[in-house]
Amino acid sequence: MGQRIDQFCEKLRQKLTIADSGLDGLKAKIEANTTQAAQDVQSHLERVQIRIEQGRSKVSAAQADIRDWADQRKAATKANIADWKAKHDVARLEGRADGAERYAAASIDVAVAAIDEAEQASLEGWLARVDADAAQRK
Amino acid sequence: MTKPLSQQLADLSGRAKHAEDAFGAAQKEAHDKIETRKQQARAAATTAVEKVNQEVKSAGDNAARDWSTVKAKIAADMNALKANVAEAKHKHDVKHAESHADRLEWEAGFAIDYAIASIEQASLAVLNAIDGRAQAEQAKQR
Repeated sequence: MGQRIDQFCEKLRQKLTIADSGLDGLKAKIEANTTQAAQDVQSHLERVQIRIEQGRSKVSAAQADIRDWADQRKAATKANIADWKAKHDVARLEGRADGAERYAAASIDVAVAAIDEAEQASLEGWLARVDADAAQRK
Repeated sequence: MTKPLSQQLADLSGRAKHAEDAFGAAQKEAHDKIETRKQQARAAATTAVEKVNQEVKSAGDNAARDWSTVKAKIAADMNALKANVAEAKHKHDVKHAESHADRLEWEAGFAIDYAIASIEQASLAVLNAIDGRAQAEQAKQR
């Protein structure tokens, strides 16, 4: 297995682990529902919003890579790939693998950004419900 | 929304863990096993994307229904305003806060489903990349 894929999978693993532990922490805060929870959630929301803003240009670049890959994929039909394999056309097969790796990296960037967006939406929903409940009690 | 947000977040967290495990295993597996994983990832991605699409469609329906409800409630609120302006103002604020929270909770549920669909698609992309590199390496060794 190529070194690039090893590094790439390690990057994915780290990102997914961070996202996973962040979501677990968020869930615990929501379920605990303590008096401090709203303030904690607001602080968490501000950090997530900063992260989303900082990642915006990266996500735009990733979306462009995904569009490029869709065009490349149209060109590389199953028949073409079978032909490259039969002729041991290593250059084309490596080009295809490079493209697939760029697409995978871009997909992960988009997925990680989607997790941040989901986290933001969940926090905003939770805070809005707290406000609605408070308005009802007045 | 069928599940509470905390449960949906747990689902999202579980998908992230599942994807992480699949990537780790795929690096050590033979081509036929990677192919099976790709098929599973493709099916999961398709299901997740179809769910998001369905939610987009049902959002349109809900918006139409909500609009009729809002119109009916505005009429009711107008009568309440005539009877007691202060009381009607309070009800309106509460109603507004509740509908705002309902909307944001729905959006959060949608954002979580979208993130799950993105993870499933990324899983498939990674498995494709692993498979593509393995095929290139095989061709090089022949």
